[in-house]
Amino acid sequence: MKSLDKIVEKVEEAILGYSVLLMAFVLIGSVLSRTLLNSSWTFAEEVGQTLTIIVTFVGIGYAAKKVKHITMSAIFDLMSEKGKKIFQLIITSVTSLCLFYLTYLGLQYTLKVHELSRVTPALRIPMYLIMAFVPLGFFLGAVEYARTFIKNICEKDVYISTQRTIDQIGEAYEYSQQNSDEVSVKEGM
Amino acid sequence: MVLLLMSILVVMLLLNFPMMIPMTMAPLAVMMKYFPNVNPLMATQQIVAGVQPYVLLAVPMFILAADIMCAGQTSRRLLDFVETFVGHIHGGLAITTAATCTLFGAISGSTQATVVAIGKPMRNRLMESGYEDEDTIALIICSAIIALLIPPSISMIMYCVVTGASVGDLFVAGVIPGLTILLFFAVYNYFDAKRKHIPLSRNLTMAERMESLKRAIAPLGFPVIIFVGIYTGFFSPTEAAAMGVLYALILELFLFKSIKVKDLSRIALSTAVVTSAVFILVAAGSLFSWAISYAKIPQMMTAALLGPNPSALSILLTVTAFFFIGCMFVDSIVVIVILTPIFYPLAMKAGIHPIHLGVIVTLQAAIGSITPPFGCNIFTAIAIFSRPFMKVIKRLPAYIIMLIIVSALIILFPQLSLMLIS
Repeated sequence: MKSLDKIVEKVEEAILGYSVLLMAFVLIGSVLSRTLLNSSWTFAEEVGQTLTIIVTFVGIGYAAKKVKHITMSAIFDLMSEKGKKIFQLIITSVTSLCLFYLTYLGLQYTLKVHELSRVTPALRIPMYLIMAFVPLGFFLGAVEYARTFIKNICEKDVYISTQRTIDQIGEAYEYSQQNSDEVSVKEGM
Repeated sequence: MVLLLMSILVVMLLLNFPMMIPMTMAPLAVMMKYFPNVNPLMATQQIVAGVQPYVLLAVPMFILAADIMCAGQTSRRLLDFVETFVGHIHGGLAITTAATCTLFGAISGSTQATVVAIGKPMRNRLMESGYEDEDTIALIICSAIIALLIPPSISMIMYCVVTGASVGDLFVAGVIPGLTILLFFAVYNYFDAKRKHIPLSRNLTMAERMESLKRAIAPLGFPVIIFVGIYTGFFSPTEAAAMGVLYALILELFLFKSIKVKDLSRIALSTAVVTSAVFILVAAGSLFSWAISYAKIPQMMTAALLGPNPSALSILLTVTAFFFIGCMFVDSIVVIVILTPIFYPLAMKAGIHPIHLGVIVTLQAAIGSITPPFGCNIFTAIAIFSRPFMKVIKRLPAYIIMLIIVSALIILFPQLSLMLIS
């Protein structure tokens, strides 16, 4: 179970990171080709849009793990440890159920698109393959919140994701802080 | 119907649910209860359609460019540059902070990124030079919101995706209001520092200034590419964003050598996560606005609020109030995605220019995000500087008053927003 979790996380990281890099590459290439060679890449737009769908939906579960989803935590922050625990149980269970429902709707929609057998205009990729990322993303998110719910029942600490307890909220900022510290070290040129 | 929609939305938001849940569940509940004939698969279709506009691609590109520059040296060079020019006058360091936030806003388009990139290094310098704790924090979080109005701005892209207005025009229109705010902040800090007898720093020689200009010239090219490219129509906003990434890569990879190629996948991952968290809300917002327009909720709400034939001014004041209050509580992107479709049709009917409305909406989003009790920049500051809530908000009122004055100017004089666009 632990190793499956690790593998899923690595795959998510790879899909997300490389999708953004590929997006940048295609868009830059298209602009350069338009300005220098006077012909833009016809597939740039649909590749960009496809990658947008992939990043948006595959990111649901990963953002849940890293506590990156936008919330309004002002009231939550003011509560006692016990209140937070109860809140967290409600939030994770309801969120998980909602996401499972959206997975179901997404799956139905994907099947419908499959029936229509539409393809993208330039590269002729079957649309249902792209749409499949929608239920996949909702499913990964639903599983992530369900696991957080279970973790909150089984363990004493208040978990805001499978990887973080409430005491670790600040870690969300760690990445950016490290970066700005690095700047002061890397002076010069 | 309105009650059901709003109660699900507000209760779930306040309970700390991830915002995508209330934004999808509230419209789904309304559709199921009042329009059972509508196929729920339409919901998925709307969610997917929400992230399809081509201009949205500009968002991850601008974030990626900013992430690359944050990992490198751009912000530090810009700071040094501005400081050598205004550092020696009263409130010089404070003015440096505000001006660099404006410049950096022209790179990143996000207030949180600006607080981290400019606020963190500047805060230490300000404290060392004798500025008070509360003053520096208020200055930093208020200056950071100028980034929302200076292109590129993610909030502005969201407004345009929802309304179909031109991103290029709105970007250009935000420049003068943004600079007006900077001017207000600079004048205030000049007199505030004079009154508090903050010691002056040494006046630098012209040679020293040229040296810092030389170091900053490459980063300064970034806003030029974006602004001139979009203003002349040579680049679409998405293309300008892609060129921004290319420029950031050339600068940080080859010129400054501050990042390595192997760092890129880590930086892109951080971009992807932020993008996903924002775009899932855009997707949910698309479902939300489809459902409310299907149920004709905007007409109901605005008729109840404003009567049958409201004047343009009363509409603008209502819009201002709603966005301002909304942004005090939740993230500006959520407010823009939810409230814009409610008020937009009415504003258009009253003959308000869509770009003028966009500038007002963006400015209210900016003010709301620094207004207690729940403005989200306040919480960014609490987390980043680990200061208590009361200290963070202590010196905010003066800034909020200045911003309200600027709002009034922008509402009363549409030319301020519209004069740069044809």
